[in-house]
Amino acid sequence: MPSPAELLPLLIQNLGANASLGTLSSVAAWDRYEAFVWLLVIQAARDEGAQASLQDVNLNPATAPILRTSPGVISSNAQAYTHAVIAFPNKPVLEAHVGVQVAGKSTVSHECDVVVLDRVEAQACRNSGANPRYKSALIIAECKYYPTSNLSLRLSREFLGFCKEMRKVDCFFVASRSSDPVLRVLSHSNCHRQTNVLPNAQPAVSLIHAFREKFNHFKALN
Amino acid sequence: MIDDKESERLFRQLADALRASGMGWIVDEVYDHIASGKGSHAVNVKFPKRATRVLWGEEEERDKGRPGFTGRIEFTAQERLKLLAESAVSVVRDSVHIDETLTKEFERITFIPEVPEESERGFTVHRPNQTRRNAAEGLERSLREFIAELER
Repeated sequence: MPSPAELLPLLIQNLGANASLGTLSSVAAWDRYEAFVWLLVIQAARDEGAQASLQDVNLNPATAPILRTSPGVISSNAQAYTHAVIAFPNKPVLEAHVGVQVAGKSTVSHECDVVVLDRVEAQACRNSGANPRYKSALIIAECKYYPTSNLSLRLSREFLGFCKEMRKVDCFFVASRSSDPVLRVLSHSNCHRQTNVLPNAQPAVSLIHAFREKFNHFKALN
Repeated sequence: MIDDKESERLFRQLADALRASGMGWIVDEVYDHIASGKGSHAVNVKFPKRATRVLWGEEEERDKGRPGFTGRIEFTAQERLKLLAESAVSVVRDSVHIDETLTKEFERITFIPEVPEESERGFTVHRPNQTRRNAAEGLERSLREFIAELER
C-alpha cells in the first residue's frame, strides 16, 4: 500500500490543480450558504401554502436570481437584485431577501443574512431609500458556513447581541457545523438555533419546520 | 502510523497547496480549531492548605480540590493532519451539494457585489456537471485512502 506521503501529492493534485471543482473561496462558500438558507425559507413558505415568486428591485419578474455578495440596502438598484415574494391567501404579502440591512431597536442598521419582511414596509423603503425596521421582520437567519466543527464562541456572543437589537423570537442561528460551547450559550439564552444544516441532512428539514412554525404563527395573527 | 514529525511535514505540504489554490481560509479555520483544542475536560485543581482566598460555597471541596475548572484536550499531530484534509474535502463536497440543491430550483444564481470595486468577488452558480461531480468524488476517494493510511 502507498504511504501517506505518497498519497498526499495525489490528494493535492485532485484538490488544487482541478479548476472544475468550482469557486471555493471563503466568500463564495458563505454566499452560497446564505442562498441555500434563503431557499429553505422559500420551501417552508410553500409548505405552509404560500405562492412564492421572484422579483427584482424594480418589481420585474425574475427566474435566475441575482444576489448580493456583501450587505447592501434594500433600495439599491446597482444590480437587479432579486428577492422572493411570499403570498399566503388573504394575508399580508411578505418578501424574503438576502444580505440587506435592517434597522435595529437602537436605529442602527445591521446586516441580515436572510430576512423575511413585510412587503408594504419593504416597498416603502425601496421608494424612500430607508432601511426596513426590525418590527417588519418575521424571520431573520444568521448563516454561518464553517468547514470544521469549531464554531468560534464569538459567533454566539455576536448572535446574542444581534437578538437584543432585533426581536429574539424572529432570529435564527443557522450553521453548517455544530459546536457544543456555542450551542450551550445559545440554549442557555433560549435562542432559535439549528446547526449541521446542509443539503440532504435532517437538520435542514428541522429548520424548515421551524420556519414553517413562524409562517403558521404569522397566518394565525393576520 | 506515521510519526509526529512526518505528520507535521505533510500538514505543511497540504496547507501550502491549499493556500496556493486560493483555499487558505480553510487552513486558517483549522488553525483556529487546533488552538481551541479538541475539547475540554474537568480538571481537579488543588490549592495549598494555607490558601485563604476561598470562594463562597467552596469550603467543603477545599481538601479534595475545587470544582469548575476545565482544561484543553490537545489534538495529536496525526489528528491535526486529518482535520485539515477532512475540512478541505468537506468544503468541496458541501459546495457541490449546495449548488445541486440551488440549481434544482433555479436555472442559475449570480452573486454580484454592490460596490463595483469588489467585482472579483462575484461568481455564478450553475448546476454541477459530470466533470465537477467526478472531480469532487475523486477528491473524496483520495482523501479516504489518505486517512486510512494515516490511521494504519
